Amino acid sequence: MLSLSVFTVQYQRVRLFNRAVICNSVYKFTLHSNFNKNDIEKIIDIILVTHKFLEEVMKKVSISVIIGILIFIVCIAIIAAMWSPSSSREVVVYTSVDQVFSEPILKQFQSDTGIVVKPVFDVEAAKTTGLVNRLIAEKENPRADIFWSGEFAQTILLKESDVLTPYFPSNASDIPDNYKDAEGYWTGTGGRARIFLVNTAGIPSDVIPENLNDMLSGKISPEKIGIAQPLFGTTSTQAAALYAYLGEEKARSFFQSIKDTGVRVVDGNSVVRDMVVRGELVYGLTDTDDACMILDENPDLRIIVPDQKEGEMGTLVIPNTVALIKGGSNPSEAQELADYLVSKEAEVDFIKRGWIQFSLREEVKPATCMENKLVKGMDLSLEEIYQYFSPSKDDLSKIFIQ
Amino acid sequence: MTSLSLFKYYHLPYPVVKILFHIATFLSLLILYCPLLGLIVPLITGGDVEIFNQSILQLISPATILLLTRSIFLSSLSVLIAMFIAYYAGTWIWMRNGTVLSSVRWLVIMLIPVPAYIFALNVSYVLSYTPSLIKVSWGVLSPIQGWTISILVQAIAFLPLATGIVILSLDLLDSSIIDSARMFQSDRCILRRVILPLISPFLLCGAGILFVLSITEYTIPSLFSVTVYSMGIFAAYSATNDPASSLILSLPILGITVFLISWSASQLKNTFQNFALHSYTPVSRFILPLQVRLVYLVCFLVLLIEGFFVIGILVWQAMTGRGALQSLLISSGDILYTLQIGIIVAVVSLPLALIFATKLYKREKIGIYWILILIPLAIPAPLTGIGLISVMQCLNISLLSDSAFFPALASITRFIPFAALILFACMKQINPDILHAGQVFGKNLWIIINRIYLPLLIPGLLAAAGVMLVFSVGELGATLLVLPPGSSTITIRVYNYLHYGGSASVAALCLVTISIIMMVVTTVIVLLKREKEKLYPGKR
Repeated sequence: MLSLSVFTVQYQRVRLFNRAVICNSVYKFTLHSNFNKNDIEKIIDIILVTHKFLEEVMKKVSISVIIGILIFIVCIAIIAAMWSPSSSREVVVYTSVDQVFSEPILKQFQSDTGIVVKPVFDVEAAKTTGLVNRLIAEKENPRADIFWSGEFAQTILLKESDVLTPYFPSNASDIPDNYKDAEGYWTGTGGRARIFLVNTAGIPSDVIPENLNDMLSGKISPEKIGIAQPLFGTTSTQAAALYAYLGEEKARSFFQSIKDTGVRVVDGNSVVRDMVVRGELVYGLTDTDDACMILDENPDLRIIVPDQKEGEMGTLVIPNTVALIKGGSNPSEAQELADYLVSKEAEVDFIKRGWIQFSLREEVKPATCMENKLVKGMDLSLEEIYQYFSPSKDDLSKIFIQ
Repeated sequence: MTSLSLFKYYHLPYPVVKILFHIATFLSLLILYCPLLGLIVPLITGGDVEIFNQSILQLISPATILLLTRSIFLSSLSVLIAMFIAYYAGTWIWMRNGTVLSSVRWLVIMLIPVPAYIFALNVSYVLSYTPSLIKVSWGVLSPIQGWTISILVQAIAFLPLATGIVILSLDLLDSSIIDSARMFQSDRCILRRVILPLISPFLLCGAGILFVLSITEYTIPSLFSVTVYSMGIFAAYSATNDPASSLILSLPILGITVFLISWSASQLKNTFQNFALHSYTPVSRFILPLQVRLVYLVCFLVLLIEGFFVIGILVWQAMTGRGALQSLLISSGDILYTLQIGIIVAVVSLPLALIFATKLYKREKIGIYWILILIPLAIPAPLTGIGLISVMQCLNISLLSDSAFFPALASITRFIPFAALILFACMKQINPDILHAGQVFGKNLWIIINRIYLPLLIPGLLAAAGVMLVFSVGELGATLLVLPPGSSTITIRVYNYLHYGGSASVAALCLVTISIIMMVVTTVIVLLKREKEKLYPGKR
């Protein structure tokens, strides 16, 4: 084996791959060894075959060239991902308003002011592990400048978590005080309401609901009634409002009955809407924006605002909220965007686009789908509703999840 | 033969090389576990003790245990049904290799990236338009909401992936074994007593992976009004806004996942040496009794109908609905950004996966490294995102946080165990004698690794890169939390539009996602075939 090792060293220096040369070299080295010449030739044959195979493998382009090309591609990809047009003015907005609505509005703002808007959108499928938790997690080094929410409870949560900074928008003086934070941490703007979307095709008129308790009346099969999962979104906000208005016991009992009777609890307001449209549900509790969007497509669909009679509690009206982030890098641009989002012109634009159906200003007309409809809101402040946000979720988690 | 032994014979001192490799392993594990560290360190240093205690109490409560048991039951049944149908459908496709019918495997590949939620929505959509008579009959057999329909729809949603696993395992069979067996026994006997035992480790591994995916999935059950354990985790997070509660409640799923993946991987460990990288084309048609053929045919038709149904609905919705083209134009930036993240993920994950695969290769038994490398599969995506935010806050480098680095890292940390398993499988395929010969003829370590070892690993590297790219395209929960402002991915847009209800837009974007994945998969398969031809010329 020592001879073979010596041969290996020698072989590395041999450029011409010639059997005779190899045999001759080996033969010379083994003159003084005990190897049989036939054995040596057999060994050489094996070496030749293996070497031929390795030559085929080593003929490939060197892997280092491939790695180099890949590193080059990655660098280009990283640079492309990082590169953005240099802009002296930009604002980072985190928004839970549906991307379909918020994106064009923010692009309009960008076009009007020249301030580059960098949005981060929330996703319904991520439930509440989305933007609000991201804002709380980034509190020490915030990346956002402004938070634009489709509701208010999460905004108040952010205020309690010391994520926001006060600002009184210049265009908000005509917004009622009960839709603004007294300390200026957030400002409300036009919003939506919780309503029943009813598919009246082939159903008797007495089945059409008038208040939330009709869901438990037994006039139709509970499987034909739907609500979104009350742990998330505006349904959870409505649950908190019910806890605040009715008291914990009555509200708990209401939702327990919803569960026990078999009312369908589905993934979200848009699912409720789709199921009502398809006739899988006779009616469901959803938001005005979900309902108004498809009202024109189907004459059998109707919007019923619940609990509007004298002495009844009214329905939850959910304003959008705008708040500035504490420590944001672009405060003046954020203030400009906040002024824009709470302005009367913006409310009119939002209503026209279909995102909101009500303005907080009396002189602004509601959306066409809600015209001629009396909407009596619940007699509760937003802070009162917020106080029951966590307790209601605890209860509802026990009722609907466990 | 291990890669470390390569170092013994050459000029670098062996202890130095060993230390360098251990450092590389440590750094790779640090990258893999940075989200978990980002979650745990703040919890230990500043967590709310009360919430922690409440979460522990909730974890051991009878209601939670019952919910977990029911969720395990739902996932187990879904996976069993999916694997049953997939085995027969996949085997039928494989038996038709070399004919037109075998091209159905491309349909399977197209279906794999379609989000599970889309399957559920399409089923719900069809059920709503089903004539009343059928609906009533169906309602008698299986209610339109509840556990039964959730199990069935989830099984259907996982059927493409399950079929892909079956076809892959069959393609890895050594054709000589099958041909030899067919000379002596009937085809029915061979399927039962030769082929099924040979592929059963793969099937068990695939079932393990599907179970993990199923038990962390809540969107399908929630559509049919069924609450599962993973929904409970998010509910807890929603109520407390504290990741500690979610992490504690995730522990049972973490434990189940680690156990299942480790057990599945142990099945694979013992089988790779018997498999070759060849695709079998039968020299004659398989002859089976009529009743057996019917079972195969029915399962194949279920797969075929599902495939054409889903793709068909997507195409129909995209073409007939409003806003599809506009959505595509608006999403062009998202599509490019998704591809950028995918490329970064595919390339950066390879060296990490190689290090992990080497570590797995060296271990004969399932041990700490197997568990360490596989644990990230069990961590829910949003928790990975929250952990990465902590890391981002810690590093506070805007160049990184404003780039695609963290979104790419989110996908890498979540899916790199798959890439490591693929490379491990590839390493098992390499004939150690070739590497020994390389040690004889190679001048130095760099030439052996560069010109012999890595070229032999090219099939594994290609497959791992392809898998990582495909998974990164569909990643949502973690990416959403670490995306830089002003950027978005195609998956986020799909889910946003889903909520909004724009079915034409959703369909168009789903089709774009499928197209991207088809391109990646086709490229990988073509390159793999070329590599196979070079390494094993003329072999079937």
